[in-house]
Amino acid sequence: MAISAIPIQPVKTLSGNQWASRRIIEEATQTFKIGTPVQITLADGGIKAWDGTAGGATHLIAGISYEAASNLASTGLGAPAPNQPVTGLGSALTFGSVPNEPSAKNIPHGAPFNDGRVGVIIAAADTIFSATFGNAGNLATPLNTDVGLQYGLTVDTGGNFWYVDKSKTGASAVLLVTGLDLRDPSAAGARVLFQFIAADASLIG
Amino acid sequence: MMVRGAFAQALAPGVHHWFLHFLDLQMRKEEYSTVFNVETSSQAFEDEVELAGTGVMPEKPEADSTIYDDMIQGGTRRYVHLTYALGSRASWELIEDDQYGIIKQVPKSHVRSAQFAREIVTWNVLNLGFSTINTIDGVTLFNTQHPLLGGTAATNTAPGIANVIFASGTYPNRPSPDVDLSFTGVQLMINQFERMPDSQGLPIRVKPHCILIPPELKFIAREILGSPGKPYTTDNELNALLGEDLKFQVVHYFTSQSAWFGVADKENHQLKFFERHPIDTDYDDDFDTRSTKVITMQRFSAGATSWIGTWGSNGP
Repeated sequence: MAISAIPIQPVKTLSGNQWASRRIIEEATQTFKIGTPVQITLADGGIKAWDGTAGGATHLIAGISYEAASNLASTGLGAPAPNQPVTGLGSALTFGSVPNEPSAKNIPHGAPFNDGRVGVIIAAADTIFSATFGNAGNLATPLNTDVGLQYGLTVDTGGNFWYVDKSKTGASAVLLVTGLDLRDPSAAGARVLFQFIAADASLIG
Repeated sequence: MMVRGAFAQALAPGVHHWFLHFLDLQMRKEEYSTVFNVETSSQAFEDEVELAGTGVMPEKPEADSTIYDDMIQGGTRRYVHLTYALGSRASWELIEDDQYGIIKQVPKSHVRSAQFAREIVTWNVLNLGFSTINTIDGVTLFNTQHPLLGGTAATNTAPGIANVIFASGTYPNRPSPDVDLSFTGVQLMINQFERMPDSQGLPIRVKPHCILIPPELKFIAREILGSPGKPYTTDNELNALLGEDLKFQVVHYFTSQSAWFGVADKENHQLKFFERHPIDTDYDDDFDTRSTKVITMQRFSAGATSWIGTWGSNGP
């Protein structure tokens, strides 16, 4: 059965402080959802969905998105520079057209605002995340024996969310399971708590 | 973190005077609110929509049907409020040993920082009006070709603008090429104001009320607008600009030394500043260290809904 994972979410910190988060310019044409591992594009600093490859400077995980991407036409479109207001349209949603003004846009009333940036919960060692547990495309039941082990992340085929993949170990691992998520009864697909391995994370807090 | 080692002079009495920049140096009087329309907001953002009225009323020949015309809905201009914040932290020991009560005055310094932030962000609407600040029509605030909702019909309707516009269906609020602040430059600005139409080409009652200049242009502005005779000539001609009742305002937050701007009075332009949350200071102690944290925050946005009633030249 294909996995439909629950979006990854931060649940607590080791320090007891609020988890570290940043709003960083979004890379062009991104459509990732909330709870997606994201990385920084080295060429322009934009946030994009993680490519799923563990290891190496070009594959480091910046964190987990806490906002969906807006499919921007260009990286950081409209993001305010220091001492500037929002220079973009203020929304990624538009409809129709404006007579005789080809560059003008209609924004649906109440459409989400957009400032060219997207929110990321930093993959700091202090932050504990929770994610669905699986094994190579199938839901799996996390066990106490999984705690303390390093696994990878895989995107599901059901909803394009990511789950902790027991089949990815060694060089494919990016996280350390720190516990079972006690909100879920013991069953296939129950969530586990984890923190990212520092060597696989690009931002530290 | 401010600790005693960095403020050793505050630990012993005897200093005759502390020259506190944030108190002893006066900040400039608030400038943005003299030009921008200041409004309040209780939402995450504010949307503004443009609507053009009907065009010219034509003759109805006898027994002929009436011509029907529609109003035209334009685009949307959204103001997204941003949060601006600054914090300072001081050790418990520093605050206790500070013999002059200086450290406790950090909120006053924050307010000065906050006031500067709203000035520079707001005036950057004009600073960037030639490049990245767009209005509701989707083009830059100062543009030689602002598209009119009525299109070509609007510029065909508007009286006497053939020599003012650079393209049919558009109207400029910027010269091409840009001009320095000068007698003829001001005349050009006034002409473009005087012929300014609405989106259907109907003339509107708008005139420049104030010229906004960087400090470097103050003397030229005074000569142009204050000379009883025509400036820079030996002829005994009147200074025709005197009758325009134009004022000038030096803006200390302009980044260009040559760009200058004209604005109508507040009722006749759409430059806006939205106050979402006023400057607000809060503080708390850290339980473990007892150090004090002071945070000052504010939320606002600034922009231009429409170009009408504004004019800008980016120097030459």
